[in-house]
Amino acid sequence: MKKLALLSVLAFFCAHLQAQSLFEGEYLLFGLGGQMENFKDDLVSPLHYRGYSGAAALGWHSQHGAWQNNLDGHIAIGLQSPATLNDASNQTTTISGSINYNLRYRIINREKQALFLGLCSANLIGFRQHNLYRNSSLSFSNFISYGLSASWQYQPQLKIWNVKIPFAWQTEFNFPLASYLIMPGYNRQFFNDKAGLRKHSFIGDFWHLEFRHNLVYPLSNGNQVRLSYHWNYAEYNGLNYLAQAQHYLMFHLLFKL
Amino acid sequence: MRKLISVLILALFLGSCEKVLMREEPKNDPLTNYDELWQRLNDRYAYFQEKNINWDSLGTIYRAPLSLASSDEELFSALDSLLYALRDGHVNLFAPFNITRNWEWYLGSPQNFNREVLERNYLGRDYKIAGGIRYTYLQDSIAYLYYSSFSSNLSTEQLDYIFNYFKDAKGLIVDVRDNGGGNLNNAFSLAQRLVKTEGIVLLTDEKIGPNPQDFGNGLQYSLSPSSRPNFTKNTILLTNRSCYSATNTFAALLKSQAHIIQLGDTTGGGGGLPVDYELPNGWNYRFSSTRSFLATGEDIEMGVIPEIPLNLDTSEYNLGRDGLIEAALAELN
Repeated sequence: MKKLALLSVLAFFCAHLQAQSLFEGEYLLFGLGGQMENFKDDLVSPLHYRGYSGAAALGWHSQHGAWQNNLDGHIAIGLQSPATLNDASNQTTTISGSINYNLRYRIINREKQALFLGLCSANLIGFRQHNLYRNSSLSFSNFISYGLSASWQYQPQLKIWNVKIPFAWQTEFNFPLASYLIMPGYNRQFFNDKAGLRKHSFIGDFWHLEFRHNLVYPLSNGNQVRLSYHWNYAEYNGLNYLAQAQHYLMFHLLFKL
Repeated sequence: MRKLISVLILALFLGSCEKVLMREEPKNDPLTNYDELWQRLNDRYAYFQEKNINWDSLGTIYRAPLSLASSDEELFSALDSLLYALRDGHVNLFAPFNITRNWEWYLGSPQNFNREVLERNYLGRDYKIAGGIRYTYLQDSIAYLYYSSFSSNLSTEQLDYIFNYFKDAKGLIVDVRDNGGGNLNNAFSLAQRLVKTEGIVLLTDEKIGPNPQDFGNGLQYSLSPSSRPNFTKNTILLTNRSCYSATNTFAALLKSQAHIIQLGDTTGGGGGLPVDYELPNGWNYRFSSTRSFLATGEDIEMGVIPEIPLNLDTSEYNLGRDGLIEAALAELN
């Protein structure tokens, strides 16, 4: 216990010794980009569906000293088709989105790098409509998950022909341990006007992983532009198997508050 | 810099590993397509027990002629035979070149309806139309309404207008012959204007798991007399075998009402709500996933039996007479 307390004090002290990084401060984030959606939903089809969506993001990022608070939301709309059937008219329209909150504390702080650990609330929503179906055309998947979170920041001193190029890199990883799932029932989506499946699951029953990589370039007025790649994967192995993966590539503008 | 590149490569590798994590895609060959459909219905179709169907045996029989080299037509034919055995109008397989169906529920019975006779000799030229309902007064202050499809929506205002118009009628004929179903909400909306006593009118449950006994999510539906314009005097409901799905349910909703008499043929059935799915080759299909019962517990999948069974004498068509409407008029008078 004493060791833990000592480590915590040291970590806190080290955190405050960190030089100002590009991530320091508060930022309002706006983003636009595209998303590749890939899912296999046993209520919809035995086939994988895949397609592209347009995506938009909104967020608030805050880093003060050793504490990091990130709130991110995104929404995407697009069409998907069976991945293995080239000329089929089968198609789904999917509206998907996410709302994530991360609270992290810096535990390692080096000259160019910092590692944060903390907690995440990672929430995925998805609504799919099949174009050839009638009563069961709608399927949905909602993972309201929480668990562990980490982020790694890297801010090198890059010089090319003696010109200093300022940039930074951030990788974030969310690893939910439990999730409240809202999905259709076995045969029908709703029972008594409520989603057919509403249950709390622990890891093993479900999987939910998220990676996000950001390449950060500061602007002269304190704002930033970021190129962000985000991958999330969610799976539920229940009566209706569901696996969905989303890759999205977005261009973010961050306004310093 | 080398460290950064290593992490980037690792992250991209992790990001593309979903193919390893997801279940494999089923093969797209005739046997796999056949087995996929057989298994899906085996796990999720609602009426094997009620119809005393040996699904295992049927599956083996119709699979036998198939091979990996079978054509689409041969696969379709095998699945057609398999699905035909379910005797269910809510079961269809949609291929680009054909649709499987079993329509014996009405093709094997007299039609008991002639739209031309109805329009020319009963509705005439002055009838009214609201929300898919054609309505008028027949002889001796008997009101008459014909509803050809529950897919035609009915607004509250339209129903108000119709039942205000009928407020002085001494009896009502509700004709739903040849109505193949549609939106159940319309069936409930119309039924609510006709009931006189409050009570449970319909019970449903659904398949909730792959085992034969896995039924649950039971619901009880009640109806109470509408506070808006309605009709609770003697009413005759005219039905034939082409009354299917939502129309079959509509007849079931009125079954417990003593002042409403069903006259004609047994309705066509279709008590299960169909859900859709597709095969690995992209053909989609539908099947019944729920069951419906009268408040007394009788299953309505094979139809609702009338209090007064009556078939039309088709020779009366030539005289411009609809025997069912004539019988209803006589009953109400």
